[in-house]
Amino acid sequence: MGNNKKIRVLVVSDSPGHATGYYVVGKGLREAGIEVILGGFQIPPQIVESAVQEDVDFIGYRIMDGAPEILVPRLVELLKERSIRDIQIIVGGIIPPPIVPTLKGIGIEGIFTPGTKISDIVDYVRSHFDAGT
Amino acid sequence: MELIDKMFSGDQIALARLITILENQSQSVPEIMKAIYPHIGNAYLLGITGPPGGGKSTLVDELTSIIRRKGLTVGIVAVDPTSPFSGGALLGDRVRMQKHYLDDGVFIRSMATRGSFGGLTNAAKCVIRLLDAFGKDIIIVETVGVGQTELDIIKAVDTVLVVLVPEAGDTIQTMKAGLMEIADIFVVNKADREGAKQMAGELRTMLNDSQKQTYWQVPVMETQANNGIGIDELYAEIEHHRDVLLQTGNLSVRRRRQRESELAEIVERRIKDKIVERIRKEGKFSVLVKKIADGEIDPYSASNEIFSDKEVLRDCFL
Ligand SMILES: Nc1nc2c(ncn2[C@@H]2O[C@H](COP(=O)(O)OP(=O)(O)O)[C@@H](O)[C@H]2O)c(=O)[nH]1
Ligand SMILES: [Mg+2]
Repeated sequence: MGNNKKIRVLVVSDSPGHATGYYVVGKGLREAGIEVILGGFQIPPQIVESAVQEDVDFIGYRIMDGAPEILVPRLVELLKERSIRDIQIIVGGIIPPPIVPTLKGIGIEGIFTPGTKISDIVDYVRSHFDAGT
Repeated sequence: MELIDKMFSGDQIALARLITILENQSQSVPEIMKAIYPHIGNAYLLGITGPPGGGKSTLVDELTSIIRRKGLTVGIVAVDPTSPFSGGALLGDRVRMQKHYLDDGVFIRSMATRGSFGGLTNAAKCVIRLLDAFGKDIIIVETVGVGQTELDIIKAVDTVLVVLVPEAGDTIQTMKAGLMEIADIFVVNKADREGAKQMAGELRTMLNDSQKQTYWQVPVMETQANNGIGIDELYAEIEHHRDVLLQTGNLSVRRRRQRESELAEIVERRIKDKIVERIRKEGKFSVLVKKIADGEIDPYSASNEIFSDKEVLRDCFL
């Protein structure tokens, strides 16, 4: 039977609008053989529950309207509170440059701003996927 | 297995991990199933199928609200197809169920069909068992129903809902025959649309002409899932069906059939795996395969040779 592990990614958004962008990313990941769970608009506590239940490898958090400097650290903190260490966060959308170091400082490496090619996200996901778990 | 103990203590992370193990069809599936099987049979299993876009997930969301108000817990398994080209999938059912994201009485898991041709995969059936053992009161299974492969949902659940919508050009006549036969309850969703009344009427006429069971007349319910209209009535019918199954003894008949097909599938799969393994090895099998390829014998006669050869049989089945 071997290792049939597939990469699973939960994609969520910080606002009810802007659905197309995240749908495009979802489709791109699917075309790369990844299982994408659409989560829609969710606040960090909801994202954690969805990610737990779906047992995903990555959370793709698309931030368009909001405050990444508040939302992303909150998500990181909530995951820590539940002792979840093996779900990685990728951030996409509108991330003002001054915020980038803040996010890197809390361990977020995958930051994709508008104009990113889907293939870059795919490469990132593939190279950071831990097949062991 | 530590994960199993944790799962039984109510740990959702452990539950989700176990689902992943079942989903990956890894070697520990038999061990998990053995450990959980003594704890299954308490949940009521509700299947929802029908063409994509019909409002199944929206209905699941609404039904879940009703079930939660009654104080019961819910496990949801939503199966969507894997892309045959890439092997990836876009699983969009959860997004319709946002009301329940923070309710720990509701556990939602999206699954792709992966290697299967669609419908209810073996892995999904294992996950239903797991949610049952975990202690969920009602398990709702959503699958896309368009063709024959999806019809196996009837062998895995207690009540089957078939969801249809009035679409232009879609008539009852063109409906897949199988979908007709598996429904315990028909739902004409998007009843806000033109043609819904007519569709429901046609269905009722057709059902009157072909009643399949003496103890249950299949009802046709009209709903507007996205407006929450008709859902209470639908849920009442689901309860009614369950009560009738219980009172007539047919619930245990169905459950027995579920176990039968479960066992048959497991045995079939194991034998098939062994045969494939043998065929690939040198030996009598590969000799036969070569003969077939060379046109010396047809596959039916070859299979007769296999079945009349005790040694080969022993090699395959033991
Ligand atoms: N007009 C109308 N749209 C509906 C109704 N129920 C669901 N929808 C919409 O139909 C679309 C597909 O619904 P979904 O639940 O995802 O369908 P599924 O693919 O069968 O699970 C969504 O945009 C829903 O909002 C309904 O009763 N009337
Ligand atoms: Mg759906």
